[in-house]
Amino acid sequence: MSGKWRGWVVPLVLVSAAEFAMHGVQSYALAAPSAAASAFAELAADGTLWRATFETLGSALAGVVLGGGLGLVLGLWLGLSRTVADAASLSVELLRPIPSVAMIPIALLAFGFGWRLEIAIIAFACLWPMLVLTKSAVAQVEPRLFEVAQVLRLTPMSSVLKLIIPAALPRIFVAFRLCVGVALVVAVTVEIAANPQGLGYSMILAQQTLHPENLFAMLAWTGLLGWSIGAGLLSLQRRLFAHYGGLQ
Amino acid sequence: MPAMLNIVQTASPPPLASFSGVALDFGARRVLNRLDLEIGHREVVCVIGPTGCGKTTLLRLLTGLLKPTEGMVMRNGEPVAGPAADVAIVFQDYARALLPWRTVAGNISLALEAGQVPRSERQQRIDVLLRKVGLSAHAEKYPGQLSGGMQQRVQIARALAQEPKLLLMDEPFGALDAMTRQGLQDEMLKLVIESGTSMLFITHDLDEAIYLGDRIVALRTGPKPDQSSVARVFDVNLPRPRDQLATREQPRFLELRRAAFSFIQEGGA
Repeated sequence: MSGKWRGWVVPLVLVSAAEFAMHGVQSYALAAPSAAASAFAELAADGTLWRATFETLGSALAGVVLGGGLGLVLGLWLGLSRTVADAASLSVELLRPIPSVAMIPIALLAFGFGWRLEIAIIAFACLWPMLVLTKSAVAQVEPRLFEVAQVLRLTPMSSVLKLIIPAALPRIFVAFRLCVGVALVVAVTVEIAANPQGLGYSMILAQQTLHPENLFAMLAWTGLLGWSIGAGLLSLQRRLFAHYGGLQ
Repeated sequence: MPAMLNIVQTASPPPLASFSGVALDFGARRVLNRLDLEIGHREVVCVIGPTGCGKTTLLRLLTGLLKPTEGMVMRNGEPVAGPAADVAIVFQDYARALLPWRTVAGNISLALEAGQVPRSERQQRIDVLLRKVGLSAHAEKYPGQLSGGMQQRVQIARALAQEPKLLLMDEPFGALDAMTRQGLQDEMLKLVIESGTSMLFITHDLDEAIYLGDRIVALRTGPKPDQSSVARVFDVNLPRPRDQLATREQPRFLELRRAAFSFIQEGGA
């Protein structure tokens, strides 16, 4: 058996074992994989699944764009200017450790339930890793390139656009991948904890209506989404930065 | 003494570059001291000396990236204030000095973009430069796809794109194998002589210094307060064009080689 397929052994054994163990068992906490699969088909057929997926991914994307975008700009600024970095470092260190879900009460007061609540919290969660990693990506740009910029007499603006950003881009993309992962986790968390929409809320609803098969269907789907988005971004990264040579 | 050297020394216009009484400290350590040196038009000056003797520092002073602690560094009779359009530099570590995300043509284009060359002229100038360094067939490749020697040619083409009056080479062939190095030495001499550029060439390799230079400047490490950094200057006096076999067999070449080697062995530098 080739190594590529070996990874499937454990999940298949576990699923079969679960199916066997759940055979003929009535439970409000667990469901057989076959029950979860047919629940998945139903949820997909009546559109519940797609609507919840759209809500969760839409919030996650908007949060990454807003928070990650702001983090990118601030990270570049802090990375390029010693003065700004010194002035901002304490504030960043104080704000960064706040768990993003701790912002739910404030965001609820400010925005109420709905898209804006969730996007704001995801943006808060994405801001810090993007800022810190972009700043360090700029700090790690090959010093020789700064000399090249000086000797060629590039203007500060074109040094940033033509040398520093492209040189830092592979590391910035890694930060982006991290932010996407964070955004999915935070989106589902906010939906479970407060916001009545998306995949997280579907799971809460399944729990409260005693439909564990729906819960497991949503859980498996969420895992699958996270895995495929992560894998997609990784292969995009390999393709985009093929010429940079062993940086990752 | 070759005719062009005489012209340089007797002509009235100021030398292309000059150091007078230059000293430079890194913290408490004096790297360069009482340094006097002139680089004439169309002259190739090679700098040798042990690691840490300030060879690279000397070169950086000419780019204006470093300021002397004492004395004056002049270009065309004016003090060096900062990087100039007509002073180009080629670093030893080509892999770090090139932009891995730009093609060969794109890397050369960077110098033209920096020099505000209009977009419409760039392609044609890139083509000419690529032909000069023998990379026409590789214009669309990325530096990571090229051998070390070819990457260094890209850097040389980028430096030539500035149309420099003074080309600063910081041990440019130090990381390359012997065959590639000899090929590049000949190409470099041809390019420099064709374009009438002066070259300050730093090297660890005495043979390379003799083969390329009109003059060889040997620097010493840790000059005493009353000592100059320049330990000795050798006038090469070998005819041009030079040839890898014939030049290296000439009595004058061997004589210089012996003098320079024994000088270094005695710890003079």
